[in-house]
Amino acid sequence: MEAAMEDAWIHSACDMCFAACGILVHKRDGIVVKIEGDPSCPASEGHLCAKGQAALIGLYDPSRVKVPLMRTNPEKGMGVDPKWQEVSWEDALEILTNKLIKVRQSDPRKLVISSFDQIALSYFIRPAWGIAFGTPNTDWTGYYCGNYLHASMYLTNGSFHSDFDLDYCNYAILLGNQQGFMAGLNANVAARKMAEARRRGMRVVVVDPVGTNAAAKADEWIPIRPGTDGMFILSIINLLLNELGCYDREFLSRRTNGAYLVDGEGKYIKENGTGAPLVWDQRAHTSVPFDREGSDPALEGVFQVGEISCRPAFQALKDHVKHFTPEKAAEITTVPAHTIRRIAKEFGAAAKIGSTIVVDGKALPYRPVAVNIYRGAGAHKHGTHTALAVQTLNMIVGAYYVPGGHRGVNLVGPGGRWGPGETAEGLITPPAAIGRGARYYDLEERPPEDLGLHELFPITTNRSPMYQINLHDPEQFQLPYTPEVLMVCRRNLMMNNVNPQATAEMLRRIPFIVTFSTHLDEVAEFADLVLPEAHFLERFDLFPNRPSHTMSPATGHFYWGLRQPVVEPLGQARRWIDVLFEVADRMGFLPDVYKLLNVTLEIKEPYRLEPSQRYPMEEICDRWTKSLFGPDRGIDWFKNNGYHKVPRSVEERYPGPFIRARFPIYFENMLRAKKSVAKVASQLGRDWDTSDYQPLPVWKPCHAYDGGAPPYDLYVVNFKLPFHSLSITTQNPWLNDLAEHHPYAYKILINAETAGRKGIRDGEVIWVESVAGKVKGEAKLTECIHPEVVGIAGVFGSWARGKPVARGKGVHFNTLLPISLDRIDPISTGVDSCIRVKVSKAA
Amino acid sequence: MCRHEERPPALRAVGEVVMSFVLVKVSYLGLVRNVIGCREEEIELNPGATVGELLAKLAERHGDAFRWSVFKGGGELRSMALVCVNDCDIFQLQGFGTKLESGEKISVVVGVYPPEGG
Repeated sequence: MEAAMEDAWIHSACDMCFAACGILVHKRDGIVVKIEGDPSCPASEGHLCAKGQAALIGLYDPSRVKVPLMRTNPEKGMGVDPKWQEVSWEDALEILTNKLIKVRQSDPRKLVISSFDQIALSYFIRPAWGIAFGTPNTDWTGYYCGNYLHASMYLTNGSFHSDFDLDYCNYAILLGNQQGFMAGLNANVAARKMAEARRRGMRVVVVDPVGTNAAAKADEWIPIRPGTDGMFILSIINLLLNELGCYDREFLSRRTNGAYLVDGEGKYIKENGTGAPLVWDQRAHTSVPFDREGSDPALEGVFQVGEISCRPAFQALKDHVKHFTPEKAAEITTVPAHTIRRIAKEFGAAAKIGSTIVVDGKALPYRPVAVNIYRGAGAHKHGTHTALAVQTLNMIVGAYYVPGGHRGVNLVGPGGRWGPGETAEGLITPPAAIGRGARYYDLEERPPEDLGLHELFPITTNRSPMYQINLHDPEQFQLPYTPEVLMVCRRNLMMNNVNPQATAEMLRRIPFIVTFSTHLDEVAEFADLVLPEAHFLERFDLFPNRPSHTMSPATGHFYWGLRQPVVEPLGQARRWIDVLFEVADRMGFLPDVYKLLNVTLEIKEPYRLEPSQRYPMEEICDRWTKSLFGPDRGIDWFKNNGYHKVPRSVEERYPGPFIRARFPIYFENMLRAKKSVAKVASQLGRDWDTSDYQPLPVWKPCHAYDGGAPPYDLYVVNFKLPFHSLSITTQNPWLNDLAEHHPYAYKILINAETAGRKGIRDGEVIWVESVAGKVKGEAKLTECIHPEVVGIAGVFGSWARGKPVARGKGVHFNTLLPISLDRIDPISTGVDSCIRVKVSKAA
Repeated sequence: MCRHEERPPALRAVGEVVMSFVLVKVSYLGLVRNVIGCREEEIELNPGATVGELLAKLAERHGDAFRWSVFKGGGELRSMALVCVNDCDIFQLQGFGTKLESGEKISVVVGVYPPEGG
């Protein structure tokens, strides 16, 4: 009689993008045969995108790394054969441990870690390892979407992300992003909610140089010149404030710092003694502290406090935006002035200022409009100002954390477990739950000692491009050490950093590189040791998505789940964090890692980790879940049941009216940051441009805008496809198949009329060349791109021999970008990701 | 709970007088360890001593390298510095005013940066 066939559906979590949707994996007789969305997961509700469904074929990719490999060829370079030699795990660990012991004895800061793994691992466990080792350089994630975004969101909405309420929104402007169209936060949920919203009549306006997936489905696509989004938004603000008189007075005076009085230098006027910012009380006709009960703060006018002439911050904003006229904006953005006027009018009318709605028995302000931003609009020099302008627009109509409007992710936690902080001036700061140190009002004037240069870029949390710049020339910021060991944990620095030639030069200078990778990718070409990393279907990861960071309120729940291994690892593959824990044990600092995990994971008695003990990672996670949810919620419960879910109350979905801290429409802390940055730069003996540190958003041209001298007459930008995410998905054969059949994926988009002028025909192979590099690809002539722009889909253009599916497919966008201090956003360090190019037919 | 059960202070003879004192173990993690070169030590404090008093004593003991690594100019903790009593952040207790008892484990951590993301 035949043995019974194994036939099981297993709860786990996808890892094909950061949404980490819950999945059910169908396993038959030891083989994964199907992946579907997990109905118990609020992020997927039983649905799953193409990436998630295609993941299973990646599990069985024959080109995966199966054993540890050691380089024998000392020469390193793109395309140079490392002449790999197989080594045992024991030998590999000994090599790695010895290198780390040596570097730790010399100066622990010489170790650099690069990783971009799932949330709990990247944001809590790996940093604890780095601190215990003694290096501050653990956060090199490369050049990516969030460089400028997270800083701007923390500062304005107190959270990690930008989102908006699709349950009630009736009018949305998507500025260089595709939220709701299988991109961005909780993509599956957002796409379904977007479809429902469209059915009830929601209008979507996409402002983007490229006719993206979102633009194709929108009510209106407004092609805009790259890097000018800030001007577009500021002109809308001007129209609303100065022509249409359309703004939410109640919200601005009570829930923002709009009424705070500022002097001629832009600083708050403060009460003597308490230091509380003053407002002008229209009832008492005098200045009073901003939080005085019963006061009626003025938003407009000019007042005299003692000897000082001053005006409310909102008046300063009104005056400031006056010169951003639609006519001027039309010249800069190429969006006609009448279109800008129409959009401003539509947006203002749709905001329904003054209206309320009852949700779950509570009357709340109803502001069913939002302008949403993600990478595209802000990934330019001065991108922080674009994001602050966007947030200002949301705030002036009061569409902020109320039904229908903009919101961040999870400013408040379930049952009050976390909430926003508040400065002495009454302004919002991010909850401690998202991580210590995101304190935008807490400046330190001392020379930096980390590669990210924290003290030189205080108004951001994302400083990865500075790693690249510092590694290229470690002496330029007088860091007292030169990095000697680089550990790359599931990150392709060659593909995702700017300019592979420059990155290669930088990697060549690092004496020892170890990479944990599923493939012999572009980084492996420079590695001394390659360690086989487990595929996500072979991994155990607790809380791959965390409510405090990437979980949209659109899911209707707070939820916690795990990724459990569905099959045994291929060959000798292991998970990198387990290897690092073993190394820490060999080096004797694992007890310190445990101590830090007790703190950062807030593990309570009796589940705390005892430093003298040794725990497998599953037991650490078991203690963590029991500490959070009680003894009946160990990891076995999660393995069998999927998700622990807590429905969100109305206060948790729309916290705006329920919290005390105010939102800033005036960024007075920028003036303090400006001074602090100038002082730090002066300590480093550097002449530093601090002009972007100003309290109100502006539009300034990026290099590409000013750099149109012949023959570099076009802009190049990249864009996102819904079925690829990060460079690793390009090695998936099924997703490759989709890309090969997609009209844009592997092509170079050029406007048909522009191409006609240059004599380029559809399907011809063309060169696209910037001052930094050149790429070749097939021209796709289309009306769906701005006439001045060339478009290239992100993530493609791999060249590593160890990625046979991805190799040679599509075009590598980052090759075209240079890296220099001059081409980053001076506040966030975000890399300017557009540049002027020339286009020519390849012979 | 972060705190152990209350323990009696330790006793020590000083001449003919028996003095009570609090003995705590201090661990240094991250960048502060790099600059003071000390991993762990035991510190004697007067009964009723607070975290603030302990930190003042540590500053006196380890000098400017400790002060520079842990504090901002005004004596506040740097945003990347973390002080824990029994693996609990002092700001979840009573801050610098948190009273210490014998046998408690104090961690001084420097290098707690906010996470990047994408």
